[in-house]
Amino acid sequence: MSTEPEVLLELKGLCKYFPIRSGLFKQHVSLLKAVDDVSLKIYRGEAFGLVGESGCGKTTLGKMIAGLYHPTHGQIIFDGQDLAALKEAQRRRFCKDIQMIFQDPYSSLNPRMTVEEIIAEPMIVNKTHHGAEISQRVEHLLSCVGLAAAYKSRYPHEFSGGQRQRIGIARALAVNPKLIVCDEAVSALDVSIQAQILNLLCDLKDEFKLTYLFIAHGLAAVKHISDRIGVMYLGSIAEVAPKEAIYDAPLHPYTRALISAIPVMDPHKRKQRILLQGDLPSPIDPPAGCRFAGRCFERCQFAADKQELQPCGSRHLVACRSAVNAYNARQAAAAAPSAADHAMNG
Amino acid sequence: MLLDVQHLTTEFRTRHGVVQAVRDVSFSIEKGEILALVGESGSGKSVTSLSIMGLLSSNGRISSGRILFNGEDLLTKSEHALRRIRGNNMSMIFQEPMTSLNPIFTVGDQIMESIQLHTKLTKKQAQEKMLHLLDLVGIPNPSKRVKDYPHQLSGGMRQRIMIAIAMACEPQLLIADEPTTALDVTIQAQILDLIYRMREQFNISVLLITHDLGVVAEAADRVAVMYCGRIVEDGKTADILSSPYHPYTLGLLKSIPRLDDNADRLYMIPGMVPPPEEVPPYCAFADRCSRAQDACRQGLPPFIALKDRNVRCLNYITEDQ
Repeated sequence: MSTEPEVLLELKGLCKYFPIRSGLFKQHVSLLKAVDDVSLKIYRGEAFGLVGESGCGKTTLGKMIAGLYHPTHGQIIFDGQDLAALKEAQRRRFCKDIQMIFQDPYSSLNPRMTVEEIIAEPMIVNKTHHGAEISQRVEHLLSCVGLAAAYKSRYPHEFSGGQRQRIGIARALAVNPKLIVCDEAVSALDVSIQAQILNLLCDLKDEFKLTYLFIAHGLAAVKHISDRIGVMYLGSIAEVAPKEAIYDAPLHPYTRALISAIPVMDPHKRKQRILLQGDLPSPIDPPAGCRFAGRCFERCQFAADKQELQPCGSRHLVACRSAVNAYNARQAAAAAPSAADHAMNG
Repeated sequence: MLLDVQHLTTEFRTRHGVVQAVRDVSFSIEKGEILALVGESGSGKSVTSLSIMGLLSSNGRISSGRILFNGEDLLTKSEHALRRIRGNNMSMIFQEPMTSLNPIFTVGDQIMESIQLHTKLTKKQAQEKMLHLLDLVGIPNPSKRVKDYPHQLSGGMRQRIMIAIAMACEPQLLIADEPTTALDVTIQAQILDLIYRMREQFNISVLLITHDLGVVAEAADRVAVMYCGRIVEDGKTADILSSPYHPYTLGLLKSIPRLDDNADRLYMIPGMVPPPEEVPPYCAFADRCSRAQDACRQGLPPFIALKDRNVRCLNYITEDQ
């Protein structure tokens, strides 16, 4: 295996717990474990897709990276610096390096600001550009995201959803970020507009040398844009692998069910569906052992154990003991006949 | 034939003047059939379903056309007669189950209300029926769940409750307006499976409104594609999805990211859907269409009947292209 690419962002044991207070005097009673012990590496220049169902903690994770939530435990190491350990004022220096694109293009733009004011604001706040430079850069950014410079004096309500999302992207690009967290950036858009925005994001990645954390529940859209994909379930990572491996050879039973649940376009190629029973359990007091055990169709003997991410091959990590065992058995079986051949030939 | 919509046109009074949201739409649904109405936002698919249910907002009205349900024209019926048909013979489920359930009543109360309004069952019989319905839609532990309020249930559970209410009077037609859009994929699969099972078990017809062609492929027998208020292509799901004739249907299919495709760039339909007050008097797709000719901008293309489908395009794609 070649040397490991440069790590831009590393999460180590990251947790976010929200206290649920109830009862007399609002005594602290239980913890909602939105993100629980997540460790992850994102390499410079890659697009990392994070998928999972609603309530699995993917947005909370994105918000912690963007600095909108402070983690309960754990480290967020960005460019060699642990952001979680910094004081608010020190952290602010890193804000311009990590920008976010939000899901809803209607509520994420201030309706009382013109497009120019919206895109200029991060440059003014972060003092990256001054005076006439700002106005020029706004025009440049608008052309980068495929909008006419003449639109800069208009207000958000004059634009369609897809155009608003382009404005949101221009705003995120304004301060030359290194990492962009795209939180469900295309989920609210129509399919034909979704394709335009996904292609735009792909182009901008090369042009501005960006790294993406692409958070979504739509697996097909994530596959299109990502290099590697992480699957989240109930606050922790179930599987991480290059996208081909996730879609062609998923190992974790949850990933397998998730992929089989995607409707297929071709009516002649209807596949065998794994229909998961029940809903995502509550992240308040989640199951102590394997998090997926309550809905898992495999019912293996490791259900009561806490599952850690373990490597299967060089770039594939899975948090399921029985899947890892099965993988190792397959590898051994594949290796055995060739070893026998080798012995015979020898 | 259970439902036959003929030349339906629905318009709204807005600040920009009178705007037509549905233009000359015709389709029919047989008994036991699932028809999907598919299109992007603003294509008029939801307005079509609201027109059938008679639930248009006060600034909307049906300006022409007929809606035949079991051979009777719904548009000539009184509000009183329509109320008897709604709920009894046809019912509707919506996209966001949280906003269609009343937050201050238990789900049991809401199911009971629907049963007691439309049938003459005693309270005890109605309760038995309710538990049976909840069991049918796959709610575990029904006798406990009926005491829950909507906010105590998950999105998938709420949609199951909505389906239970809709099925309470054994309707002949179920209109499902984006029933799975607000749900996660694993829950979406469960709900689609449930709708499919209801059809098998009770032979109901379903009008499925969706923007997701994947859902269409999974669930529908026939599909009608809408663009700017008009149906541009309709036919059997398998025919339409495997070989679309209308350039818009093709564009829509090609712009969806697919799992089995590793293309670097997604296909894009250039431009965007015109706002309803700016829909041109000729083919509404012509300005975004790569196959458009001069004739496309000279008038509205007719709805051409071919052997396995109808298509509204002068220069439609044929199999050999």
